[in-house]
Amino acid sequence: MKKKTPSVKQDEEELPFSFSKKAITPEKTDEHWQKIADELKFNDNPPEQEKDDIPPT
Amino acid sequence: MYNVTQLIQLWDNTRGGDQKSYALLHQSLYPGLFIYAVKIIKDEDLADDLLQDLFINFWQKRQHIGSIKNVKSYFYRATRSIVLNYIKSTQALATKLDAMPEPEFEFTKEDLILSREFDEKLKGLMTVALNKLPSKQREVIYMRFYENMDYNEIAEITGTRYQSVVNNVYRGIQVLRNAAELIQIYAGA
Repeated sequence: MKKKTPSVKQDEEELPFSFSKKAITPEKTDEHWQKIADELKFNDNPPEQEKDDIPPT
Repeated sequence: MYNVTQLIQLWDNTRGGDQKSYALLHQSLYPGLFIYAVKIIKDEDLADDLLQDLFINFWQKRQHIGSIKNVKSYFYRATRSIVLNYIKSTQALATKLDAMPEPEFEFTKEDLILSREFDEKLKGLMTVALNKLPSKQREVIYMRFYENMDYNEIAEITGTRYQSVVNNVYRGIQVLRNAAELIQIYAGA
C-alpha cells in the first residue's frame, strides 16, 4: 500500500494550540555579549545608536 | 530581526573583522539560540556557557568558516551540535554511549496557549500529549511552530531529509489533534 505523503501545506497553522514565546530581555542579551567581547578582548563594543547600520526588517 | 540577506551581510562583515557586525549578529540570534539550547539541555547557565563558547569559536575561526548561505540555520545547527556533544560527553562518563543522543525537548504548561476556556488540568493533558511525542517529532514541531522555520531550514539544522521533516511534523500534528479532540470530549463531559 502506498504510504500517504503529506504535502507541505497540509499541516500549516493547524496545531490545536499556540506556543507561548519566552521573551529574552535586551539586558540578558547584552550581558551575554559582554562576556564574549571581554573574552575576545574587543576594544570597541557598539553603542546603542550605532546598531542601525543594517536596519532590521 | 534581520532577514536572510542581512544576516549574510553581517556574517560577511564579521569575516572581514567587523566586531560591530558580529555584535549585531549575536543580538539577532542569541535569544532564539538560548531558548533552543535550554529546551534541549534544561539548564540556562550551561546553555549560556555553551553559546558563549560557540560565538567565541566562530569569531576565531571566521575566515576558515567562510561564506554561509543561511546564517540562522548554520548557527542553530552548530548550537544543536555543541549541546548534543556536551550531553554525549557527560553521559559517556556513566554509560558506554556511542551514538549521538536525540534532543529531548520538554514542554511545560506555560509553553502552550490554548484558544478555548481550557482549565489548567486540561492544559496539562495537552502538555503531556506533546511531551509524549517521539523526540524527533517534538523537535520539529518546536522548530516549525515556535521558531517558524521552514522545512528546508529544519532539515538543514537536524541533518535529516526534507521529506522526513515533513512527515514528522505531519505525524506529530495528527497525534496532537487527536489528543485535543479527546480533551474536548473530556471537557464537555
